[in-house]
Amino acid sequence: MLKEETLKVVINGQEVESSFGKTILECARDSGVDIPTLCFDSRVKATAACRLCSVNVKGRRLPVAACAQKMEPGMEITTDSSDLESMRKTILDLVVSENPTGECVRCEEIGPCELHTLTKRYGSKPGRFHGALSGEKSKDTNPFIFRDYSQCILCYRCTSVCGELEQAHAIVPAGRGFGSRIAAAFDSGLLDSSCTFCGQCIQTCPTGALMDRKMLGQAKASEVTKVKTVCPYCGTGCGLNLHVANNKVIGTTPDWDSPSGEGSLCVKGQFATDFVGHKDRLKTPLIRRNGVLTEATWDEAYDLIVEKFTQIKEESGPNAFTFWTSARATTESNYIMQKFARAVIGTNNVDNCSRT
Amino acid sequence: MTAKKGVEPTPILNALHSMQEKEGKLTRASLEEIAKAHNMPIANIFDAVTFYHYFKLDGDSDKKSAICKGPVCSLPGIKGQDLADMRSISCPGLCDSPVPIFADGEFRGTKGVDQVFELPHDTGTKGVIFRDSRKRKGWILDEYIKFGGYGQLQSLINDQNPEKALGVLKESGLLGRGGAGFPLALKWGAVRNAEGSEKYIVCNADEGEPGTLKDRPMLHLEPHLLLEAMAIAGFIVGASHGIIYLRYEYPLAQNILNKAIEAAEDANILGNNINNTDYSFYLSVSRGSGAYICGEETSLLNSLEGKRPWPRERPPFPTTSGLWGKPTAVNNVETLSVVPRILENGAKWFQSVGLGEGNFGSKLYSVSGDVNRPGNFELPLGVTVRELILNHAGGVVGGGKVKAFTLGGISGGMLSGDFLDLTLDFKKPQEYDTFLGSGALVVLGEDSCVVDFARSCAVFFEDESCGKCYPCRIGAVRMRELMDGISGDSSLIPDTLDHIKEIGDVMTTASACGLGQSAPKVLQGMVKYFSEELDFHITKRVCPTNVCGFDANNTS
Ligand SMILES: Cc1cc2nc3c(=O)[nH]c(=O)nc-3n(C[C@H](O)[C@H](O)[C@H](O)COP(=O)(O)O)c2cc1C
Ligand code: SF4
Ligand code: SF4
Ligand code: SF4
Ligand code: FES
Repeated sequence: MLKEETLKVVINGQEVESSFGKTILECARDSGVDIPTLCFDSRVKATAACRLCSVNVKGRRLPVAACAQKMEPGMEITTDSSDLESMRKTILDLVVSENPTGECVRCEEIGPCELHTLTKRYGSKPGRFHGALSGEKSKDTNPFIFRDYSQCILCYRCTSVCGELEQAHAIVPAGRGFGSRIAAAFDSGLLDSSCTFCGQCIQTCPTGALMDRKMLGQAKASEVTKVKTVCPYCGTGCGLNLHVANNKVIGTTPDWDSPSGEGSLCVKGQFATDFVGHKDRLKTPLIRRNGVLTEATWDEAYDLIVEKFTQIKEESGPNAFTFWTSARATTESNYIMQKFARAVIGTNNVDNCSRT
Repeated sequence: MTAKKGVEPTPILNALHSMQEKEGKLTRASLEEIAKAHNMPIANIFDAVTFYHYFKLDGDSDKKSAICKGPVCSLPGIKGQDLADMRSISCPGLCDSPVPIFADGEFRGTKGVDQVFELPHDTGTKGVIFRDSRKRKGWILDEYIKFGGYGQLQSLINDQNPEKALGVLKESGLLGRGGAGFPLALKWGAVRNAEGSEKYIVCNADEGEPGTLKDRPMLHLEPHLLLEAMAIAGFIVGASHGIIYLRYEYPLAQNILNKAIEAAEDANILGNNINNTDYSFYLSVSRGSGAYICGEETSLLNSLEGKRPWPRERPPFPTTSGLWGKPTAVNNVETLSVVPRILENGAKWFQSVGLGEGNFGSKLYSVSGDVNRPGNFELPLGVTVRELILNHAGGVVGGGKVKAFTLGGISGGMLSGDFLDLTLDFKKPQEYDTFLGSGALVVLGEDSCVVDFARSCAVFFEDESCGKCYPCRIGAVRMRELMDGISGDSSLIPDTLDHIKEIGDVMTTASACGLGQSAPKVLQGMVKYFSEELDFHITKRVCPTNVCGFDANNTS
């Protein structure tokens, strides 16, 4: 069946052009109409759990979840009627009724979370509905991910991102109903699961249930400057933001706009920036003098290298050398290295550690 | 497994059951084995297993013996001694011999295991599905055939005209008996027209709605009728596999169905190249593991695939993207079982069976609660509540009045005894914000308390909410807590009624599936029709029927 590329729909009385395959939510956001969501992450299949995005479609008996419903030609959609808005307020009141208050540092230290941004907007406060709380603080002692499921709102973003996007299948929903929980298989800690510590679950979490453990207690969100940079660990070059407070790197968050990785990081880029300010970090070349490594200038170091390389080549020939490049080097650096090996030294002994 | 059998399309649930039967529980090693065999991440198997009531992981507490504390079994006239300290199970479909217990893997009502082999009560009408059941043993292949069994399948194959058969079903006006009343021919037509060569027929035998026990006698006493119907469905839509999703609570039906399938395959009436024709149709039974939500068709499909049985967002509908993403017809046991009869006797005949305009065919009604003769009744679609409760189910125990009754088990809502003239069809109840659903009625006599009953309905939905969407996951718990407050357990907060209305509205309009949408219905009926009784509870802290325990010290 041949399908037209574009279709016309009406959102809040305004005619809007959209294209086939888009959801109501995508189309609305494209055209500047804001629909609140909590369980939505555009990178994974919609779970449609929170139902905040429910909108009215003319001719449908019940509201539909905008995040999961595809646009159809001629749809007439209302996103902001007072019924829908008061439904959203009630849902938010229900959500905040399942979490304890006053224990979470997320908004203060990391910055406002999605949940509390929304509850503020809707004037939703805990205490209107009373009753059982859900979720518990996890006993997981892994060094990277702080897990406090008493703050969890079971949006299932972390589990979708972990399974669908990262293909790590480390965390899943477990149990059912109000007793549903987020767990690794057999409720083990993440170190005993298939978790790769990519940190994406933290990044998608709309609450303080998942946080970067090393970042906690370091600074107030207002003291943090974010410095956009490229991860130094490997040639992929994922974009990231260094969080800097009091002239110290306290952690990283992904740069969602980076063309490399689009925000997905690995454990190193995500959690291993402590080396920046580490006391053992080398800041100058070291030369072994009388058996002791001593600080030197770059000129001294290069002079020594040239001297020794020339000597070895003369005494033992070019094949006495072998060159290894690092996975952290870019393609260009790798190229230069093999050029150096072949053209300057005259050997084919050159390889890269990521090939082994 | 015999060679002529097709590959079992949904092996995971049965693999888990076999493992659990062998080892008494599911160990990490056995789950890893299953995960590997089915190419699933271990976490995803863990995820699915933890959802169900009856899968047991290492370390889970043992449900050795438990008792039904469902809404019917909790009625004061029924529950007998207080078994508060016993573990509870969700309604196992034995509301006609309460109070059932679960022990040693069996569910027993007070009449023992034989209960499940009981025919529906004799209503004096001829019956459609159970037409022959008093004359022969329908579960024995030869006897089934003697009365014309598998004849409709055979003539369909001989005629090679599935369009014509679909036309007859369309004309008959058969509406799905699983609850939603969706026209059968429309569904089958959609699957038939859907693109793709691999299609499935799925029979929904997960009946788990409190008070609903109608599929039970069909599964136990007329298994071949169901198998024939599924093979007919396969021929019409172009499917070669049929799967019966059977609720955990009907273990004997699994044996009966498997034996029936084997016998029919051995006789070449089902299976590979049926009667040496080109048509092959393979059947298998997959056993659920205790989850009411698995009766919802998309949740059922996820369950069959070994996934967490959350409902799926629709569209796409199962008719185009069902089991393993292939076009699938999901139908209730009763809807299917009536198909061979329609093909045999014609659309006009079927139409003539029902009562009143647009009500075609017969319906199996289940009645439970405070009545003299609880059980199943096969009657023309469209009988009145009065006739069903007073004439057939023997009226209220002790001769009193009907105080209230529910429809659709407890999902269709609750009306007061003033509505006895309501006709039990797919249209009329909707005028009163209720629906026929599965066709099960729970009856409350004057000694029962609607508030306490509503509370136990709320408990059921809290236990059975799948937990996917917010309105239902959180709403169901808050509703039960509010009901606890009204019926005496905890200190009452002043805006209870407003909260019941507000949360109920949001559950009804915003929940992702029918469970959450209908969960508040009984409570809404209570607010609408029993305001006086409710007011006694709320303001005077008195239960007029003395069912709710108002104990000042008991604020747990
Ligand atoms: C919470 C819930 C539970 C359901 N349980 C059942 C059930 O036990 N049996 C059933 O046939 N349909 C059940 N349904 C309806 C099914 O989703 C589906 O509509 C039905 O199986 C279609 O069959 P039919 O067209 O033959 O009626 C349930 C629906 C919901 C929302
Ligand atoms: S860190 Fe990555 S792999 Fe580990 S649980 Fe989170 S999303 Fe999954
Ligand atoms: S931990 Fe966070 S992302 Fe995961 S379900 Fe809970 S609130 Fe959502
Ligand atoms: S309405 Fe209830 S049962 Fe249905 S998807 Fe939502 S939580 Fe699950
Ligand atoms: S964003 Fe659609 S349901 Fe949550």
